[in-house]
Amino acid sequence: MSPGGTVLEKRESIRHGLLRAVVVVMCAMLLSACGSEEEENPMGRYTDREVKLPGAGYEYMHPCPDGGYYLFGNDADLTHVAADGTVSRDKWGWEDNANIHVKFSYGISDDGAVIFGYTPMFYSDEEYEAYAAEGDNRYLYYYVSGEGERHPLSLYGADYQKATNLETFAFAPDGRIYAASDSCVYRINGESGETESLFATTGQIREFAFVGDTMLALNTEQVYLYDMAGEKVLSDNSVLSEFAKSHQSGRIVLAVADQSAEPAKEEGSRVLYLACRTGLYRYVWGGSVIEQIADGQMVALGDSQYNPYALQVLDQEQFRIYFSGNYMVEMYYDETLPMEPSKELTVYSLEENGRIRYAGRLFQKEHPDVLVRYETGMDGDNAVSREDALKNLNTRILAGDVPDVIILDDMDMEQYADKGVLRELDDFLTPYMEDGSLYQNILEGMRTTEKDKIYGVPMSVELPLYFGEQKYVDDMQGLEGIVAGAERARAEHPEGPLIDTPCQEDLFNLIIPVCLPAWTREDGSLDTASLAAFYQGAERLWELDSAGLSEEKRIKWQQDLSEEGSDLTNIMFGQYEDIYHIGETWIALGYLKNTWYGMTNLHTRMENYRNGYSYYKKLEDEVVYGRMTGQAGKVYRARTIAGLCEQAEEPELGEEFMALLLSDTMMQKWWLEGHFDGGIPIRKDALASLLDINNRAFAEVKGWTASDIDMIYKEAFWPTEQERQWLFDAMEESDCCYRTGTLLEGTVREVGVRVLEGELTPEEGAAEVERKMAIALEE
Amino acid sequence: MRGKWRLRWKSRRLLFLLPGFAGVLLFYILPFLEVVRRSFFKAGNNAFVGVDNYHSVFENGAFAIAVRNTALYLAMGVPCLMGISLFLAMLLRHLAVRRRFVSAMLLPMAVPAAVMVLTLRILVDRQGVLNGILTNVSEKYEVISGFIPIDYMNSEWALVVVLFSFLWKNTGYMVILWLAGLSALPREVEEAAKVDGAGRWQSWHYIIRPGLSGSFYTIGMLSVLQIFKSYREVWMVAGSYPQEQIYFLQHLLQNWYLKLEFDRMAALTVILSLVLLVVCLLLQKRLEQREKRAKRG
Repeated sequence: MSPGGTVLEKRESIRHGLLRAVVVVMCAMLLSACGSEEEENPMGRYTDREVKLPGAGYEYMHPCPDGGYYLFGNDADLTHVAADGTVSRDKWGWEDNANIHVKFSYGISDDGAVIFGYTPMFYSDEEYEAYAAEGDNRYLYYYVSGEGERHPLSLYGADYQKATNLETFAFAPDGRIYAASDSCVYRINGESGETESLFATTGQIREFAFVGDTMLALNTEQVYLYDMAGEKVLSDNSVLSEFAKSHQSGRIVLAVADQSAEPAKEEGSRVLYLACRTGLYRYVWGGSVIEQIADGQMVALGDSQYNPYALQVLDQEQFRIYFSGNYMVEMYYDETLPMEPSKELTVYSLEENGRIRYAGRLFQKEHPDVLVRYETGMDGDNAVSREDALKNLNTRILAGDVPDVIILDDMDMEQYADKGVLRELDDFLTPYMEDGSLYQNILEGMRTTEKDKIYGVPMSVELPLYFGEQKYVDDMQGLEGIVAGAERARAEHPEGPLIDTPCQEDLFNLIIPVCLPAWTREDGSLDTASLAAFYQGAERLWELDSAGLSEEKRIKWQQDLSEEGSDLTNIMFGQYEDIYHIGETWIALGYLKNTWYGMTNLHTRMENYRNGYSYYKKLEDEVVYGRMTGQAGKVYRARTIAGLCEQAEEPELGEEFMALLLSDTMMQKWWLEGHFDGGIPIRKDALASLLDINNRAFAEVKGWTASDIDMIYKEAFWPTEQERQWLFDAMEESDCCYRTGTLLEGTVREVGVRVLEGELTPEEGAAEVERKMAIALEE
Repeated sequence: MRGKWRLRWKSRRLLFLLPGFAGVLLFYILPFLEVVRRSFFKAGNNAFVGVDNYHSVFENGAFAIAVRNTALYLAMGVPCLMGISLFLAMLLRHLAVRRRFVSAMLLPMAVPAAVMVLTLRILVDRQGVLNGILTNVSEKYEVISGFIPIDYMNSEWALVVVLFSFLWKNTGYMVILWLAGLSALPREVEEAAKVDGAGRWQSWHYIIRPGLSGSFYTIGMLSVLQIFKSYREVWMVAGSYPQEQIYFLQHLLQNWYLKLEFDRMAALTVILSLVLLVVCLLLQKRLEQREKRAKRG
């Protein structure tokens, strides 16, 4: 053996030795990672319970250091709830005499002093001009001391411009008032109105908190620290600022534990709590980490319907959180709950659905050992298109990662059923069919054409409706009936819009749902004659509507609506004695979306375009309503269609969740908590209960007069038996389901615009749809 | 000892190749094998169906349309792109300012797809620039009597529009590739031929064309790839169900994906892969034969 060979062999042996050592270490690491699978789940985690608030209309909560709190809002009294639950109200009622129109941006001190912004009322043009001279759309401010002395606050100061709008107010523990505009933080003297600029900010400060002599001002970018005693801006707290940046999608609220303690307290013992959508966090002042103490998904914080507005630290590390929508919970630590839920129920929907979010919370309360994971394909933050969201879902399905429950709104249910993704629900629904608790006709309408099985159940439906004066809407049956009604109305009113269709898309929104089911034959082929007839009807309606409106006026109308964000297809059965906001149109077509505590009268969310504000008509005298029918008969629009997945990991939990969705509790709770646009529940007892006037707690409603827009109170006018029966019958008759998200509808809309613009005749349009659909059918 | 060392060195080289091969194996070969496996099973219940999925693909009407359109687009697009870009490269070849031209020609490549789509819409929409010009011309000169504006992407002109946008976007890049190929040709040979009395056509036919045979293969393959990449713009302009003439294989694959037709997608992917493999092998073989002939000659 040569000496060189020996060296090589030595190197080789060292290398082999190292390799063996690496392999041994890796095996040891793998074994240690796999070892403790059966570890026991430790107990204890935060949960919450809802707090019943002493009234409605609150928009702001101020936590007091003694455990009590103040509530306030534009339509609510200043209310103090003491730590022992005693409620005291300070009825103001002087605001109208003080020219206060709408109050907002509140700040309340621990002793009940209030500062707020408001928009004024004007009784003459001169008054308005005097106001506008110093800046149009500027806020005015009012100050009410703890003793009840009050005065308008005319803010002034060297660095303060009159047109600057202050949106956030806070009282420091020593009583000084701090406020923020979109670019600056100020200190305000509540007595004199003197305003002192403290420091500039990038963006609007949304939250103030006070730790000893330090003020924290928080926006979505960073946390500003200000030494109130030394009157200087302190260096940035990078831990808090990083937290603010990484939680930009929702609001963060802060609270300091033991705020009333002596200012000389040790820095390390001050504890700051932060609540946001992802959970509740704890930060020891001066520390380098923020620790999560409650996961948002397992408490109300994760509910995207509500934004946290205020956080209060109570004794024994309990918390009170006030949310948007006048909703409050108390969070407490429950040692009997497992720290991590042992099971997980996954619910998927394409878009955020408040009702599902709500049901998830109810379900989690009933099953503390289950984590309800609600996932949305298009959650608004990520700008994912519908098609991309569907692709992502399909990729998951392909990989075997299927949700347990899937909400099929705006999805092609038949397709998922045909491919075996969905579980057939006939067996699951048998008890409901037998006891008759659900509208059987609605369920039957959900059967798929291919397999004749039910794969999805809607929680609610919307019913197509027309209303207007008898002479126009008389016998308005079918698409021809709608056209005939429009002809009659146009003959009498040559000027102005006729039906609620500012653009072609709106016309299709109105009439496609009641016609679409008629375009497909039983064998799945397209009925082009029926489609051509639809285009003829649509063309005529568009011609009639356009005949009374110039292009400029139509564009203006579209702009107005877009600014208001109005959906003209929304119709609600309301409780108002006053009737409806029908605007300039003479025939209202739309979809009944709720029962708004009763159903005596109808109103839409439309404004009156003729006068600029609402006017009222007596329903019984002049206006009639009925079920709008198109080419397809008794159509209903299904909402929140829930299906179960065939390959679900937790099929029993999925069934339980579905049962909760269809329960009387869920259906009633959702509506009675004020979610009025959710459609009409498909559960008979829930609908009957919603229409039961004995359930009503109030007898008057607010409204506005037509002439001077004054607030008025009117007697509530509950439904008659005949009106209740009309709705029950309409539900009972509905047997034809219109579901969104089909390719045919998209194609008909796309080609339809070309038909209405005269590029294609109705027959050519139908042929174009057939040609386009041919490829889809071939696929 | 030396033999052993050589062997070791060989195995070490293989060792160096291993990470790259592992990546290809993990991210290409194994997934493709999984696709091949899936092509014999039914999506949903995972039942073995033999070649039923392949039958289903070949019997599918949309597949026939997509294959016909894609083939037509390839047959028109690749020669047009190669021909036009080569022609422009020949024109620019001896120009002193060709560098400026080259930079300008690369601009379309830098245009984002969204901007390109918007431009296309502005041009060929029913209320677009093209219709505006034609309407004005027909009104002013009565050349085209009774001209009615049309939405070109929804008419029989759709393929022409797509082809135009494809050429606009890719010609510059291909010109540069041709120029690179042309600059590699020895000038002396061309000059000697010129001295011997060869005309332009003879120079092209006997000197330049054979010299560019390597570039033909590369540019041809790149053109095919660009054709497939242009689907993005087509989809953005015309959606999932465009005018029949511009319904391509990618539309079919995309729509099947949305319709959860994973089994048929797998079968189609295998078919397409095989077709592309055969085409590539044929092209390569032809190139090799040509090179051999050139060496012999």
